Amino acid sequence: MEIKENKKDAVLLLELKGRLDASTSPKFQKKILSVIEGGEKNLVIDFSDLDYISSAGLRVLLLGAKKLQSVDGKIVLACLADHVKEVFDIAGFSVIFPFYDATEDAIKSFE
Amino acid sequence: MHPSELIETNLYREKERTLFYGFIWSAVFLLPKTVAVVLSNSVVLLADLLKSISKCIASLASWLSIRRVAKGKDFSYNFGYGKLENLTSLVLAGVLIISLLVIGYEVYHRFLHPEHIHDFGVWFGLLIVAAKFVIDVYFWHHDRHLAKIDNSPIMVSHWKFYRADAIANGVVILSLIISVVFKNISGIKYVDPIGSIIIAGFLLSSAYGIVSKSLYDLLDGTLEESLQLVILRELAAFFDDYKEFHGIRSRRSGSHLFIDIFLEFDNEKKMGEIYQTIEKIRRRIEKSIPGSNVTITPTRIPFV
Repeated sequence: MEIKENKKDAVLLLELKGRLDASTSPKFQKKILSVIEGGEKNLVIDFSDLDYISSAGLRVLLLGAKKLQSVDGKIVLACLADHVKEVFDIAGFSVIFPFYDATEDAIKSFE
Repeated sequence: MHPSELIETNLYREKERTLFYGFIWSAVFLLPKTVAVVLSNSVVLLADLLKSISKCIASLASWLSIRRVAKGKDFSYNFGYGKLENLTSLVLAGVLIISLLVIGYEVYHRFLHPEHIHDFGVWFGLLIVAAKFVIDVYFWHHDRHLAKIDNSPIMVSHWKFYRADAIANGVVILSLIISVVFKNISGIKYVDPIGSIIIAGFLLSSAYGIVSKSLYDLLDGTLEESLQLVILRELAAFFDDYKEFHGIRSRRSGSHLFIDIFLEFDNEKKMGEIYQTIEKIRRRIEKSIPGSNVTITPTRIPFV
């Protein structure tokens, strides 16, 4: 899995490519924890090129969301494919994370 | 005795009884099936006999294992008795593989030197296999029902075994009828070994399924994805009730599922409030996942 990082004003955009499963989630967790410890509060995660997410990936997102909640930050998700969105719905994560169809809209939501 | 302990004890007794009857039925058919093999000279009936011997040994081993689990719940092995079920399933797979090797040798031999099968033995064999087919269908449905209630690896492997048995018996019946009715057609001698290859396929598929599942559980593999999503769904429902999420670990021991969740709570919260939250989450998950034992640990240390 590849993770691209892109800073847009007060928002950090993380673009994921590939599969977010039990083997790739540790890399994603390391990245998310390092950016939060680095002081980032507003995260947009772009799922356009993400083919699959497992419960291991969802756990990392839950971990990140809780860390950011304590510093008044949040994670916003963008461009989820239908099959990925379905996993979020099954896990009840749709109520925790705001979703946007376009990355630009997700970034604007922090304004 | 606590009501939940009573239900568990009754379930173990029901499983024990079912496995014992399964063993008795398998044993009862061994002698007539052996006679049918000798009288008919059929490889497909030999394959069926080996399958029945495997089933008989497996039922006996499973029955003894369940008895040990039910009797032996002392303080020596808190988790280990559940694994006895997985070990028994592996023994069962070993018996299946030995049967496969024997069938493979016989089929190879019969292809090199084709032989006719004998009518009288075939009709006798048909009668036995048809009776066994009816019993297999009954146990298939009965054990599947028990496996659904208890989530036990032994019962799961057994209902799959009976399903494979019932389908394989159908193949035996068909193969024998074709061999006898069309015995004057050239090449019909190969129907018998071909039928046994199909049965070998069923045995191989059962062995693979049992080995992969039991090994995964013996090595403490995490719970399957569908259950992980259920755990996360409950944690999402209580999102505002804990401060940080530090991790989950899970495993299976026999029919018990063990789930550990590590959560951090607000420093200002009283211990009584934290226990109330923990209790609510624990109850919700245990209700959503039958057979689960959930432990929620309040901690500030990330789980590695």
